[in-house]
Amino acid sequence: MNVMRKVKNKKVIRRLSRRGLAAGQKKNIIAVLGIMLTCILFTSLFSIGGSILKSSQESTMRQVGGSSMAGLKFALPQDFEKLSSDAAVRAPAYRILVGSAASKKLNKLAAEVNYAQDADAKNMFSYPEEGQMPKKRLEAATSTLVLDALGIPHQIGEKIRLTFDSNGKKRTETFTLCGYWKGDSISMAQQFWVSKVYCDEITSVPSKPYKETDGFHTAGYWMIDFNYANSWDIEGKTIELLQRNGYDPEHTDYGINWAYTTSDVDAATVLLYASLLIIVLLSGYLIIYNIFYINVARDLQYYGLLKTIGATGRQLKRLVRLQGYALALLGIPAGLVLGTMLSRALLPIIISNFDIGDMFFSVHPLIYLLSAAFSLITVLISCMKPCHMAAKVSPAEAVSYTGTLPVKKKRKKSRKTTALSMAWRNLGRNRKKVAVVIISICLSLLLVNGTFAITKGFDLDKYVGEQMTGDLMIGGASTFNHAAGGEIILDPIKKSDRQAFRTMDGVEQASDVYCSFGHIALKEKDYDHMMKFIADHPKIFNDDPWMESDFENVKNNKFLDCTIYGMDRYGTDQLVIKQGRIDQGAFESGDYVLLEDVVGNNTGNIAATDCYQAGDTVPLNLPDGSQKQYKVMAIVEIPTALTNQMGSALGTRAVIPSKEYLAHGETEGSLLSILTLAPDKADAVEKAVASYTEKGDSNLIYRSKHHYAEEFQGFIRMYHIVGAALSGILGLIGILNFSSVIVTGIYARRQEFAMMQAVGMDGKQLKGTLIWEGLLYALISLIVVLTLGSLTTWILVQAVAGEIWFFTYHFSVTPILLCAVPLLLITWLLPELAYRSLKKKTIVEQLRVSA
Amino acid sequence: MIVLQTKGLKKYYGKGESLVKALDGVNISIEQGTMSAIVGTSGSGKSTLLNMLGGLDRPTEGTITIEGKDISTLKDESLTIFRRRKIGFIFQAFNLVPVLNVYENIVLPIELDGETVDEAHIEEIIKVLGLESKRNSMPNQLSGGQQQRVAIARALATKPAIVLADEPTGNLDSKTSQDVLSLLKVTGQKFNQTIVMITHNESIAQMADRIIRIEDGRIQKRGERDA
Repeated sequence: MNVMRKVKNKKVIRRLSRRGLAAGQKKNIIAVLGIMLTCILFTSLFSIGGSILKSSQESTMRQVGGSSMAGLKFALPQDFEKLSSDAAVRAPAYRILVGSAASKKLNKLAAEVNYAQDADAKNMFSYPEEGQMPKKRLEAATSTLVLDALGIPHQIGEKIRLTFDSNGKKRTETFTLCGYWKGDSISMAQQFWVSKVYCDEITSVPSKPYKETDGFHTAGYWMIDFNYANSWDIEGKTIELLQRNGYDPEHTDYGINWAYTTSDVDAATVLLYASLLIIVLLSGYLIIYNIFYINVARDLQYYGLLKTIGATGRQLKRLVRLQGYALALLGIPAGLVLGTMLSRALLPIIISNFDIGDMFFSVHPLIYLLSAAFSLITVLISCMKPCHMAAKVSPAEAVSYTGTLPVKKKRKKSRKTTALSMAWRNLGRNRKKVAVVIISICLSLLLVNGTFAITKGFDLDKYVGEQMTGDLMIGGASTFNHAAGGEIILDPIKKSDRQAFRTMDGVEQASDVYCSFGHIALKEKDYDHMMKFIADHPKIFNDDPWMESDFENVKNNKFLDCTIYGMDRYGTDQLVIKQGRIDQGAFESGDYVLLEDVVGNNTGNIAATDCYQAGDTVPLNLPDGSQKQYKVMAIVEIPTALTNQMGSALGTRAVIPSKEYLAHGETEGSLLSILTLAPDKADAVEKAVASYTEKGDSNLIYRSKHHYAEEFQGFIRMYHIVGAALSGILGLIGILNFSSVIVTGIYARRQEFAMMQAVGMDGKQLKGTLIWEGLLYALISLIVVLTLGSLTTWILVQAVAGEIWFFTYHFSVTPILLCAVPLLLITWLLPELAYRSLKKKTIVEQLRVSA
Repeated sequence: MIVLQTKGLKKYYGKGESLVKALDGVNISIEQGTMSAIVGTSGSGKSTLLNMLGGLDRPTEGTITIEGKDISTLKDESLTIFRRRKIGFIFQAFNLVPVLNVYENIVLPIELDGETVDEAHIEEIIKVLGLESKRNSMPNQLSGGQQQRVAIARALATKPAIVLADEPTGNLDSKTSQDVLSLLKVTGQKFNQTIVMITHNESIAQMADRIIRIEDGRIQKRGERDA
């Protein structure tokens, strides 16, 4: 025999493959549909994921207030020179700190007064959209948020009278507006740009590095921002850059833009994403494999013929694979387009439920590359087995192939043959195919059930409870919006404010929470208890300076930080009682206190101790400076919504009645006002409160239950829509799988049916058998999902949603039972329809099929 | 010259009680350029023998030598390649590739082998078989006799060492059968091809140079006649 050589037979295989495809257009439509659906799923997954990533990056940048990758803070002009000349640094730009706005009207915004290069203003999303950057001495550019707060129209040339603080010196100046841009409320700070001339006039280049100063005088220091060639390992690059230029990274103020670090993607998200990818891959595999398998099995005789004529196994493998490629070539582009459209439609719904400001639809080429690659991989994996089957066909056996593999013979008792028992045995003839269909139906049902379990598990009360109580809750900007920065005010609500809220039409109940800092004088036994607690938790009570001050209070001054709350009945009713009970009448007398456990908290490293018990007596130092002995009535936990939303490093919280609090209070101001509203007037009250808190120099912000409920509904809607879309597509895949199996099954057995009818089976019996076959798929799927599936749902849902704090798992099979109806209907109707088309031919015609 | 030879060829199916001896020690030798007919009743083992000769199935024991090469030891892929170069098949059911036209069907084995088509040779075959006007027709546009003529052309296209025909006229009426068979014989002689055909039809067998009778998996020695 000739030595094997590389033969030029690709053309003929390609021709056979192409013609074969053209011959079987109907079955190819199903295959293309399957590939397309898979590709739609992959594209949506990558497209939505990519867009969320991009949107969150953009919004993080906006929040941080810059798009530069890294920066050097509080630097000097010579630092800028040095870094600019480094080869790794791209697009360096700087701004010079001048001061911060001190006008009362600006106290809800953290407004900085600075000079910036144009490039730096652009980096910080603070470049004038109207007008230009300041050039003349008293020109200024700022955001619309600053203008609105100052009550100045958005008009170039307006005069702005601004008081600001520069190195501890207050200055008031009248600037001319030369440019403005749309302010972003999620940004941590707003910029008020002044001219270089003005900047030079009131600041001077600092004489020593910032680290060597007291830290309070920042005017004149340079903030330098720059980029690198790419965003990979910015931190590492920055440290290297600093070392290369003679800085000690440990003692240099440098910044990394966390918008670029991906580490904030949490494990739950990764898990959710990975499991979605696997589900898509699996379901895509199931349908494509199934269709290919059926196609190849049906054409096995044909492959046998080709093999007799001289096609090698490798050539047949190529033939099948080429068909796969060709179908993918049709299915994948269509899937990419439709997937993009689907994600475009879904994205706004999903985005609106993340803490992301604006939506950015990502069209990164990687999304399409990955989607196409994953789809193609799915096709290739699905092709493997059918390819192998075509390659291994024995030419001699192919001639007698009938499409069903011999069943392992088991001796069975003869039983009465019914439509059901026939159907059951027919299913047993190709268990693998049955398994594929059932798995794909189950996947879809699982997803429906999982989605339902997740949304059902979201608890509105839990969700709202963490943020607020009552229908409307009013508090200070410093309580609700830590990002606003500035001084922490515990008594922002004045008596007149409370009066105004209380008398609004529609307010049914108004209650107040007062708050101030105090402390408990430690008795000997409590001191020992606390010292032991500190000694037991070295991880929490380490040498961090801010921990040190708190625990020196305990050690040296023998007193424990204690935030004191004054509450009325409405507040105390919401406390979670951990020990003892609250006797409202006795509590009102003013002799009792409700205490929380003592907590040590070092940036999330938390431990609690039961230093005090109900019945103890504690000496409490009150806001007015007096000390009073209170009896501990109960140990409680105060819901976060009723607190000042701050934690202390080491300390506790105490609740006394409002009356008692006011009797020993420093001011009459309160921390929170909680309003319960008449349902029909809720909107009107909210509007009134909104205009009250927005007017003038009010420092108050409100939260509305209505708003949170809407947010919550939106969140649920997202899960519903995404879940419905996903399980809809998976369901479609399942149904496609089912119909291809049923229809080809009936087609392949035409002759057998004719034979059975020839020996006396009537049409009704045959139809019954076919319908039972269909129904059995549905019934087995339902049984699997109800048993094994319930367990899987529980595991998956816990993995996906268990981390969400307002989630509680509820077991339910209702969605499955609801899905069962259409499923049974389809599995019943399809064989019925297939049977009707079969019946159109006479028995004799059907018997002749193979001749 | 002996082109095909089998020695002690055995093919057993099953085991123990259900052991079937489809072939039980078959020794045959076939001369270059002759037309032989293997005759036997249904179940005599003639189809099994043909499958063995064509390398479609492997023997349990014994050797098959074609042009001096023992094909029973070849691996699957090599066997396929050997088959497409050295053996032409003609089936009862014609077995044309439905998606290819007449010409494409004829040259398929050559193209599968990656060879360039010997156009002159193919043209001659087409002419001899009277398929000139059907060159671009699809198989389903042809009559049974025409389809079988295409199959003969395909079998001859690669200039094989041996042409195996399995009941080549089984699906044809008697008039067409005669025509097809005459053509097979004529082309065989014209291209100096060795043809082995199986049939249960005595009158068709009579057209062969030599008749090999097979019964219960064994060759019956009587009835041999000289070419």
